[in-house]
Amino acid sequence: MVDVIYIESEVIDHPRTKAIADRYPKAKRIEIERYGEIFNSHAQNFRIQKNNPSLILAAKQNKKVMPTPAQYETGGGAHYYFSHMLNCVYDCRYCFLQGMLRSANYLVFVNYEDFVDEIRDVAKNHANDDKPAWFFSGYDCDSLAYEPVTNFADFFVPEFSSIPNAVLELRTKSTQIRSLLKRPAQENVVIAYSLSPDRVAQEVEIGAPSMKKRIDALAKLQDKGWRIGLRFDPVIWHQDYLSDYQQMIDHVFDKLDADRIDSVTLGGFRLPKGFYKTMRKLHPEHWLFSAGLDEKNAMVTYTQSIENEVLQNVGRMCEAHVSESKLFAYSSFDDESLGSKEKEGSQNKESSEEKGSQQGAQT
Amino acid sequence: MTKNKLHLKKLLMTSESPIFTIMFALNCEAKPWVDFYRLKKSVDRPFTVYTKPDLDVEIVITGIGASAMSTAVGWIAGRADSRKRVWLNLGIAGHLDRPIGEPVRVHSYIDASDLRHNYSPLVATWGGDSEALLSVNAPTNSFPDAAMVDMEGLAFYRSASMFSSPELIESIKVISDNQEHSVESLNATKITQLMGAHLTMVNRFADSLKALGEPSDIAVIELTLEGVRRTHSQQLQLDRLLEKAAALQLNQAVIDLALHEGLEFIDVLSKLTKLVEGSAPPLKGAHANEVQAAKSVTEVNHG
Repeated sequence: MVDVIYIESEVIDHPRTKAIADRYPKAKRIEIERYGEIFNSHAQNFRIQKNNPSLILAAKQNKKVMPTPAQYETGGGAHYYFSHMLNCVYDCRYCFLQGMLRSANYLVFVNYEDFVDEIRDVAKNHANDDKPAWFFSGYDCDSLAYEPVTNFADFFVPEFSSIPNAVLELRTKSTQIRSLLKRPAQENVVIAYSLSPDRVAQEVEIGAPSMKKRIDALAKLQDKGWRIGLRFDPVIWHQDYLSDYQQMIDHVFDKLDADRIDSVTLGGFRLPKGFYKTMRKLHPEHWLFSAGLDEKNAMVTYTQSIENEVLQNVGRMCEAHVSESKLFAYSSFDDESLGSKEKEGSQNKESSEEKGSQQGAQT
Repeated sequence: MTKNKLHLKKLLMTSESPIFTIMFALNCEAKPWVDFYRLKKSVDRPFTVYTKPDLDVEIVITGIGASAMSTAVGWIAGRADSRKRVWLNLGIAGHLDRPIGEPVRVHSYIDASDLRHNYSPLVATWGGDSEALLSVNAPTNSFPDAAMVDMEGLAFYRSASMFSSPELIESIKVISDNQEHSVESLNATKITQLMGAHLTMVNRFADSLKALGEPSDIAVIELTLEGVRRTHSQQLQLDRLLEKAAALQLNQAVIDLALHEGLEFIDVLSKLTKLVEGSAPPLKGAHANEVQAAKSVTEVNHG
């Protein structure tokens, strides 16, 4: 439900603007010049706005496709991300957007065609690369959660069928997969799900589908031949984390064909210090911001010993089901402490982990 | 080192309920709300303020114009009660063609000097329409195409924004004049009638607005240390540890620790640090009991 829709003058007659706005016939429509007039001004409060976010429809100007940070591009293949939307219908406590943005309004850029043009141009630059260029969506929003309104995947997935040297990774927690199930699986699209044990999800992934529903969605996608990925990122340290994660991982691999899983990645809780401070101020009551944390190199992470422990233990649980070549772990402490397994993983991590590792976790 | 005197003094809610401050330019605009809340005049000068003991509502009569409004906002915000405020400006406004008596939420405040819009985040739930508001310096019968006209709105929003998040600052205007009914036809009785007709609708909105300002549910134990020397940095460290302990549902453990005989301050810090850093968080279930445990300890002295 959206009560208010702000629409940039430039896109007021855009067909996608009309289609999206028509989903909310009762919403008040307010025309604005630029989305910056309402989105993310300094004094706004993310937590208060999360009670009733407005929708902003705008045109994305300037650069639309960004490279992931160079220091993480160690696994071969070029990696990029793009964001057709800022903010998310879910309210995950660990999500860095709360620390980065002041506004919780949903900002949707309706000029999808301009994104695709730029993706094609970028892919052309990698036409002679050994590996495909990787384009990651789900960094600043959940890729699928708002699909019935935005038709994001419905538009972008078929576009990628004509960019053979590119891979699209959709990172999500959503069960809005209808637009994917209705079309044949596409070799250069990966749908990666973030998963947490139900007890954790109930406390830190507010509003997101239950673990069971996410796994059901994964199973349906796998049955239809889609490439799928599993993201245990961040792994949340808590009193019963061993049994909670063991139970979840057993359930996941009971329902899915491990041989046909594209990749499994692990990561610890991590945030830039400034984001952490903002987020803790927004939710001082939440245990997530007080448990086992340390500050190093302007990042707030689990202490080294806790992160090592959780990644190694959960990593071992995964190894019982999936081959090592598909398992990747990101450590906030680089090569300082992890065993060979995690070192290997950190040198082969995927685009999503690369981006997330810099800023923290999102979907 | 001085023996510690730890006083586990009280439960401290880190945030308190906000004050709901309603600003009116005129007494006749405010009358329906003063009557509804059964408020009494508690301050006469420099601005009239209506309050009631044990009620977190205050009504301020500012007088007409931007200068009076800005001054009143700053004055009331600077008074002794430093609690967070939720702000609502209620009053009349003119419009080109909206019907007389229509209540309209303000979604942007236009600065007459450059005609730029100041958009306010619209988070509280409102059942009516919204419109931009142009604030002018004198009463006028000349209206822009798509904006209400008043004399205080922009000053209210800008001034209140100095003290609260913009999500907690709202304005509702009731249309009092338009191109067919001039401002000269208004009197105090008519204004009170126009405003009072929307008491229920505005109060529903006010409830939604007030709810946004409600604090987080966190119960932090306050340890007071009498006669114990410590640096400012050590005190900050203690405060941070107590807040973390509360978030990790360790209040009972803090109470046990504080009651322990013969601890030096530095020992307390060290033990608290170990307690907090070594505790994996429990998931929900124990939290309610934890708050209850903290609430049950109102004052325990030890030293």
